[in-house]
Amino acid sequence: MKIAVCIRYGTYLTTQLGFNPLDNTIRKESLVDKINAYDENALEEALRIKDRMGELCEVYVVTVGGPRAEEALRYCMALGADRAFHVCDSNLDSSEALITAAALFGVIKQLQCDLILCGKKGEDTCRGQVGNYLAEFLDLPVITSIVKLEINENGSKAIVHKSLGRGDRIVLESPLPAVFTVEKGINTPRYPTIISRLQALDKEITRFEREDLEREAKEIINEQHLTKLSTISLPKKRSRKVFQMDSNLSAADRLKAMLSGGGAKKKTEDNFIEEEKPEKAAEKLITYLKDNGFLVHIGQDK
Amino acid sequence: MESAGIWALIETEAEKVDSITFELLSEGRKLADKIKGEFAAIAFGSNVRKLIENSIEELSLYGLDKIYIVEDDALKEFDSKVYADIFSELVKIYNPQVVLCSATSLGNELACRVAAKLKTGLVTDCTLLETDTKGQLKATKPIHEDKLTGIYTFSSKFPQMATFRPGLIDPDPAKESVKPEIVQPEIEISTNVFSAKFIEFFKGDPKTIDLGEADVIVAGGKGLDSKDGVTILEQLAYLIRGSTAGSRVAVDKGWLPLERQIGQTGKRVSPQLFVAMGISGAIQFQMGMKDSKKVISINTQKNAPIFKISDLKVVGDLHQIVPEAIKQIKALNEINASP
Amino acid sequence: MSNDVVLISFLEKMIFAVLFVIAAIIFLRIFYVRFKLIQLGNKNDSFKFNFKKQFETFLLYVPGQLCNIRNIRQKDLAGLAHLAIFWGAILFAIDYFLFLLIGDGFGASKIIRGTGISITFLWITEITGIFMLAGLTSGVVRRGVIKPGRLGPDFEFQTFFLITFFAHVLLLCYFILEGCRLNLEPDYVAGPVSYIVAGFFSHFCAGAETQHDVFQFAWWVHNIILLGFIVYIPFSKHQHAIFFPINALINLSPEATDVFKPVDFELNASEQKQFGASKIEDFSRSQLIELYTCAQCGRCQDVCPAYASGKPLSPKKLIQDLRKSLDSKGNFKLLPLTKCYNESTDRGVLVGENISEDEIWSCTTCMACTNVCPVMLGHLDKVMDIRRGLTLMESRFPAEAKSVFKDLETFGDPLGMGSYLRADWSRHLNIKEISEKNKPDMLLWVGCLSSFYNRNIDVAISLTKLLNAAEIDFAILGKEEICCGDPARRMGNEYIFQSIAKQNIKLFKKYGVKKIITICPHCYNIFKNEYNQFGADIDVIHYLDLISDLLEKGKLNPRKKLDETITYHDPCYLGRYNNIYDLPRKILNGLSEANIIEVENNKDNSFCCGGGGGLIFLQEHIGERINELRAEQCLNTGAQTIATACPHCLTMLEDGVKSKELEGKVKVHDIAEIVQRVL
Repeated sequence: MKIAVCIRYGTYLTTQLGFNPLDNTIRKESLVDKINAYDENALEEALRIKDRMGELCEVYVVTVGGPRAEEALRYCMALGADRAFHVCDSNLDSSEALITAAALFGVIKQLQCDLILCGKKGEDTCRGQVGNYLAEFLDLPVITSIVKLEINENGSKAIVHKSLGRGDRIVLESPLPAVFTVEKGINTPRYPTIISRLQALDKEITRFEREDLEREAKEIINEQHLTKLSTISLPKKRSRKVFQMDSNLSAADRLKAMLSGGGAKKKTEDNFIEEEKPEKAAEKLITYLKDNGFLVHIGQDK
Repeated sequence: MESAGIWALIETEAEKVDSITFELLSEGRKLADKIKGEFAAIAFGSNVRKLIENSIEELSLYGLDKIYIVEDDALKEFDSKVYADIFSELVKIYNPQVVLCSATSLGNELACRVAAKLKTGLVTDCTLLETDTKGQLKATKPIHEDKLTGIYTFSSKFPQMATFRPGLIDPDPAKESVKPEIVQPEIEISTNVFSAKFIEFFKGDPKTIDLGEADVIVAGGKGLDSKDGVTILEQLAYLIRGSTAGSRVAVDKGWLPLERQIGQTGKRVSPQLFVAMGISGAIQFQMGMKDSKKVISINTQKNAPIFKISDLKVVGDLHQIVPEAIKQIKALNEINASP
Repeated sequence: MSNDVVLISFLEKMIFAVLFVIAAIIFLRIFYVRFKLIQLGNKNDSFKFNFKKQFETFLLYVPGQLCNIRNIRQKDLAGLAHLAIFWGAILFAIDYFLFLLIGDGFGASKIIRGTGISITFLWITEITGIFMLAGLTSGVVRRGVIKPGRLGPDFEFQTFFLITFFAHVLLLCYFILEGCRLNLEPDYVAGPVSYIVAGFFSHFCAGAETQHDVFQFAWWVHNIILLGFIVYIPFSKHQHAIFFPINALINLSPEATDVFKPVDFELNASEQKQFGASKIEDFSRSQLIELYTCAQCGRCQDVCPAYASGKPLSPKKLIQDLRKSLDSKGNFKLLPLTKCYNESTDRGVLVGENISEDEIWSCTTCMACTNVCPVMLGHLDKVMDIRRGLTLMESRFPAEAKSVFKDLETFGDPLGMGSYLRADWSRHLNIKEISEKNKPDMLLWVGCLSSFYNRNIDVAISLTKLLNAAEIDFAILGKEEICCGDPARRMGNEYIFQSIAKQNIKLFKKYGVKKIITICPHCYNIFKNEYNQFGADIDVIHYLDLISDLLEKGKLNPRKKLDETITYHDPCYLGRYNNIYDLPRKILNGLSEANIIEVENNKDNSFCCGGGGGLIFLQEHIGERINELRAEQCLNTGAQTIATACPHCLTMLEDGVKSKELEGKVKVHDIAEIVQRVL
């Protein structure tokens, strides 16, 4: 059984404070280089399958990026991956997911894998597109946000638990080969032993240039960038109808009004509540929950 | 053929149009107004015509010109490959400028497959969509795990695709009702051999959802005062579909089990919402949950460290505020549930 | 000699000689096996042959019994018995050799015994012999009746009573023999006790016949027991009597600075290198010889904070388990004489059967064990080597340690906060940050705890206020500061530690840093004593040094005196590791009306707060919390304020006070805060 895991070694923001709104730049001290956390979970899942199946299973890690991604690949091999593939071209790790996915496809197509695992999304781009794109290019089924994965005896089918949010799950049976994208809660990644890290320094990494990729992949890559990240800024809340306390109404009427979205629009939002009456504090709390989409299920339970 | 404006995908839930679709339609409507083009919705399913007709009253309030439907038994369950094939066909035939879906699991998967098929641009999980008169989309979306926002622009290739985050805006129905035309084009339905088989559905139980998986966590600390405080915690967690957790003090006192401990366990949680009640929030605790997207804290001490990382700070006694909130949410449940 | 009475026949003497030779062969054979077992260790020894220093050490500790005398306290007088038994044994050994072996054996008894020196010697020996008897008897009473904890958990009653019984008999036989000879041999001289015994015999046992029989009987009893002991010693813990003197002569016990040796991570492609200790052979020979010097006195167990709080760690048990592990590789059968090892290869993995992971991860690296050990055994280096083996070779460590390691690598601090937030605490305080143009006299190294932990930030702020008040030219690294690397090294992850250390040293060179002042004793210790392993050459002081200096010179002027009662908790990394005990006391006593109240376990007997060894980042699942035990000890002094000088101690003790629900009544403060309060 061959499993391919897509890994991204990128630059991630540690704190919002690192963003300077005066010149729209991010301070370098608030950035760290590391492997995307969701991808670590994907690799851990692949390694667990390998632990169970032993010699019969091979785990490959594939990454697209500049030379520094090599460090990540060696770390993955220290964890237990058998082979590493590096599309060594930093232009291909772009803000356009289609290109990244095409580059990955260009390698994975040649590997003929039974299972492809990716992280659900990148912690920086937060797109969740690459896994789906990859599935389309490879003409395979895809299930996203999985929190549990079981492969059957002969590697022809997989039972997956897909997370629907709020702890709800559906269990699906998927034929293999397939693409699954994993959620963070699926497992806790292991830590490599230092001896394996030292040994991984000498292992071979297969490098791909643009020309070495599948023809179809090259065609996609040569297209212009379809989307581009043009500006970064601090998040702005969208103004919405915020419930204004009208103490003339009864409590029940106020609640009804809140539900239907009645009331004037407010520009700024209170984020500090200190009320004498607990009822008022509770109302403001619930308004906040609703505004931020945490009460969408109201009325659907029970 | 001339570009056919803005398209939005209708999602259904239990034989009805899902409420989040109306949010999407509100956003799409704005774009259609700007380009002064056609605004259409798309719906797939096995019994979709009847479903649309049942909801036509409400749908008519969103300025739709047309609703394209594709109905076939093969479309009963969502299958990304089959749906994507049809969707791309429709796009190729009618040439919309912008194609929108809700940023749900289904919407994202479908949009991605279509974008890959058509080799066109797509930005997912947007919080704001804007366009110029020519239909060049400008999509705003959260990046770096919601810490910052990025604005994406598109190349000149059409269609330009985006998925829109649900639960962000209120639907904005118009005052007048304009009934859209229902169009059912002839499309060949491909049969896909590789469908995933549905086996069963698990509903999340706040007491047992793994903290690493939870989207909403409700945690209690020293301020719970006793094991009775945990009841309040559990009730609130149940009502907002969250998972219960506790600080080290709460676990030490035996109010919550060790698996529910946040902070100093080495485990990091990163839910969409973290509610901390009666927790002072020293750094050892913060370590375990600082990646949470939104933090609400309830504490009697104004200078509690937890407030420094909170998005909503509630200064007060949790034993009074939370039971009130529980009462009110229960009342909301009644109101919303009643027809 | 023709006048001498023949008390023991030539045949009997021959038989005895043959038995003696056999016993000697057994004795030497076992020691030979042990010597060969020690050779199993690797050659990264700390054997030092600075003859003068070693000889001094030898004299102080062996005949001088320094470690033993240090440990004699009102509550634990056992050391006195050991002094009597040890010196007695030496004297009797000389007695046997000179007077009995050479004197009697070669018929030169009268000549040797006749001199004034000999008579004085015999007197001293016999009086010491009485003390020996008293010591042996007291040992029986202790182990049988009082049962002090450190001799346990297994009191080995049967063996102990048997051995002490025979030791009593041996001594009594000696006096009987001497007494009889005084009566039977003309012109015989002996010590006072023998005269008393002789007088007793003349009184009650009439004839020479009876005394002759008694003498013969006692002679055989005495010799059989003696031969028994000769054979018994190498198989028992009494072998420490041989190994400790040898060890004192050739091997300096590791200082705190020597415990943590750097690991060489250069790896030949084909070579499977071992990092840390996974099997007994992974220890060095100088570590293995120490295992045989342990006398199982258990003082280490008594002072170990982990053991006191119910954790499975006992330093005594650990050393004994390691010794058993080493012994399991040996062939202790008498024949063949040259075969020292047995073939079994499956035993030897350290953590598994006898030693559990919990034991290894319970150690706070407080060094109380080594500090109190009468044979200067280094317990800590063995625990740390095993930790390195677990971490570097197998990634076996507590779950919480994983995120500490990952965060150290990715973010540069054990909490995962990242560089940007590092100097957040100082944002509004106008503190200079070091830069190319801005090179101050000294660098203030803040440390991870004082940068992020709410309570410790208060201390950092207090200290900077003090430094500013005294107009000291200092700067901080600000966002470029990362961890000093102490948690990584203490938790066995030498790999991450080395990369951190090298990064820091590069940074120091970049800014031309010559002097560092630290807040945290862990940072202080590692910069001062361990960074030189990687080529660093900087002057490091802990802030107490500077504060004391400033107070003395009048650059800091306290306006008032403290009116509350204070007690001081000695941090392990200032006290036992770096011998800083008086400085904080001087500062506090100078600021206070009354002197500070000392905790019962203070100075080098200080009880750890439980935060060292990286444990401040881990959870305590077993037994009680060490910090709560220590907080209780401090609270028992009745002081209103507990003072300390370490951010780990401050955090742990405050936690301990909180868990006793006394946070309103008793304050826990750092000395910097206290000084700043009275300015």
